[in-house]
Amino acid sequence: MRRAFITGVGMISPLGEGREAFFNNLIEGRSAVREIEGFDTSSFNSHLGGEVRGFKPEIYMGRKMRGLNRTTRFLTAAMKLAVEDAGLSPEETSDSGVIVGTAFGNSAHAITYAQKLLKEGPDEMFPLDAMDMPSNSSVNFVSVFFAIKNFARTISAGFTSTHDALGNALQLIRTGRAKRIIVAGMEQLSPELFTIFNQRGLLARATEEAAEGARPFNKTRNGFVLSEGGYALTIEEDQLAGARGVKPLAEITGFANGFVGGSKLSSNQRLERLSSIINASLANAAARSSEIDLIYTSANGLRDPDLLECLGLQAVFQPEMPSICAIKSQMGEAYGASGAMQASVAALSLSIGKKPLLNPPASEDVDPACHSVLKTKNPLVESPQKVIINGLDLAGNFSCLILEKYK
Amino acid sequence: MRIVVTGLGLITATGTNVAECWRSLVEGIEGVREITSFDTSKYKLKRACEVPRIEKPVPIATDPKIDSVGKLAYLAAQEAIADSGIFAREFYKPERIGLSVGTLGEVSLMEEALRRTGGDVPMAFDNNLINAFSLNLIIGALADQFGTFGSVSTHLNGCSSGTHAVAYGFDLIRDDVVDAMIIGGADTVAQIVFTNFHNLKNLAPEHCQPFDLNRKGLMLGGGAGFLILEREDLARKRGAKIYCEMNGYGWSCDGYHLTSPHPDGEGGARAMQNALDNSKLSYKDIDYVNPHGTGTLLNDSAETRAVKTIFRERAYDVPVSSTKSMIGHPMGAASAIESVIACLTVHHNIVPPTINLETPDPDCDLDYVPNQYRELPVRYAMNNSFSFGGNNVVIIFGKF
Repeated sequence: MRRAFITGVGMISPLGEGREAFFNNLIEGRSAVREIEGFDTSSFNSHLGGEVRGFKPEIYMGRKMRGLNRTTRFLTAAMKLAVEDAGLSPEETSDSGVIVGTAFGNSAHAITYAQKLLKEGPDEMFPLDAMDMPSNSSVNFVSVFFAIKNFARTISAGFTSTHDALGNALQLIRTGRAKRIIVAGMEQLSPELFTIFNQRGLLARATEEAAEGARPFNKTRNGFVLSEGGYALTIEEDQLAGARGVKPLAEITGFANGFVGGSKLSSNQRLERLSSIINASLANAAARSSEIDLIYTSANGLRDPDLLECLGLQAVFQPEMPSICAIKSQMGEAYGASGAMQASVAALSLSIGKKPLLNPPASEDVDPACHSVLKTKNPLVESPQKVIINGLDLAGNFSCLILEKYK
Repeated sequence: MRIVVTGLGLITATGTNVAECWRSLVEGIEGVREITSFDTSKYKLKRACEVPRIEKPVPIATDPKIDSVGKLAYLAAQEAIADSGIFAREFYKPERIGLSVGTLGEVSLMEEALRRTGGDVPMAFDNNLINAFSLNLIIGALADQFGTFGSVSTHLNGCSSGTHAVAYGFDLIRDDVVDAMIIGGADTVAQIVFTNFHNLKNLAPEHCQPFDLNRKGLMLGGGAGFLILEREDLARKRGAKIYCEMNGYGWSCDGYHLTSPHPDGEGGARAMQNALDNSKLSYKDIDYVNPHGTGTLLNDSAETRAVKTIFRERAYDVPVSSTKSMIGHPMGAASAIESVIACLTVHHNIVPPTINLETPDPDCDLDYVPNQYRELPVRYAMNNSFSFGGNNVVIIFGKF
């Protein structure tokens, strides 16, 4: 069976563009969560977001990205950075496959296009307005920009979109159906999306108990903070990476996913399903639970999903609970891009040998139901060797990736 | 491992189940009509192959005024599930059944929600807009209703969304991730999509005429197509009816242009060859091609060249018929619907016609099965989907 190595990462993130700025800001403890400046939030109860600021797409692709929407710009620039990081030539890039993961893609653009159409009529709509409006246009743009000849697909699976894209890449490489794949995810923090999540009561807000904020596992948590950006990883078959003489950042060794939502499952059944998916990912990686040093949780500050994940981890790992990282307290919820964001952090951490911040709540603030999971007896080792990356979507997708230090 | 097709579900402009749709396709009935789901008074062109309203309640989020993508997907999937008996006797564990769907998304539902507010951005959206915005909710609702716990995914790849969903599900079975897949595609005729093609002057005014000298563009359509794929050994063990085998798929990208295919059909030809290789078949084995065949000037000539590249001396002997001439182009659902049609050609040994083909185009000189269906042994059928942006997926189904 062929092995799948991560050989490059690129990101346009609220904590910086490119791996150095992003990772250094992250491990130095800077937070992506700030007051939103891109649109007016004064009529909402929530005002925070993980905004990408000062992004200049022309730095990456010259004038090619004029007229494109923010999601496609994030995607393209992140891919360009990942390709450069991996040292891929234009020919090697062209010979790659592309898997894009996104929960909402260009939906905000489609809404504004439809609003204009309904108000002003079809004669006022110009073809260029729709150039980057369809749900598949982002992947089309990057496949043309990078002259991709192999294949290109977009997977949408809510908050697990890029977890599943990475899992798909692992399987395609393992089975020899592909040799090199660029996996990327992107999301945009738009007023439309903000309104919708606000209406669904999913955004963190200030209460008498606590200020507005991203507080996974905290007893006062009441929602998540939206974040945006683009994250890309180049995944290569072991022999191909070896032939190029590159030192991989990390290896993807396991993946499993499934549906744990819906109205037909009891809480216990959901927990059982979620635990079985974690176990399936371990089996897929031929790893024992005791070998896992660190878990990048999906936890984002929502009450029930955080608890479900906690209990699932407890069922699989107790009594040898690994360290738990709640990276979304620092980054916000990047929804469909979150798997690629987490995997980028994990790959850099495994490669550089620097551990990420765990961002646990102070012990007096921990949700008592999550206490046993967060109270690990083993402090995080200086250089984690084997990590799990979780993704849990609101509709019920749960995905679990395993990354290992390159050996 | 062999993988077989054990259930089919179909909704098109000319039928609300497989039997109705197949009969209409064989008889060459055209589904084009005046659009009713939105006001076309400000448009020069007003026709599409819309699915007539289906007065059947469904247990998932939809809208009283339109049949949503989710509704069409649910009904077609339900037909395929009933046809296959996949849930009978709890033969499969729910976690061993997956779901994958190709679509452009709940665009019509979004539009309907916005119409209620005059297109303004309100501080609180209509609930249906929330449902429309979350692309993942369609598949989540289907998994919830059908009680499956295996992998779920939505594929957003324009015209090749459905075949991406099929290929993805095929891989999940052959890699032993699941035992069976409920796979399909669904889309409606959405106003923003119609507007875009209309203003690009890419729409046919009256009829869709693939491969005809006077073809003027594509005809938008709506519909849904679903297949049940299963491991062959398990399907046989449970005594399932088997329509055909899915032999393999191939894919490629043109990497050429956002809206135009490579003029030589180079990317399409590579996808076809990859599908043959993946299926361990030769071009000599294929008895029928269901082409992308949109009726646009560029697609049909490029695809004709691609077929010639692959089929060489057999190029003029292989029947190539575009069913889009009858049911239009149901966008993200098109290639899933055409996969179902390809399965039916293998099962029935009948090839539907390309209708509205009146004036031969010197650039399109293959056997397009003009205007009249044909009975012939179909050992293997090839289904081409060549999306905008040069995103190509080809699937091969064969006799079991």
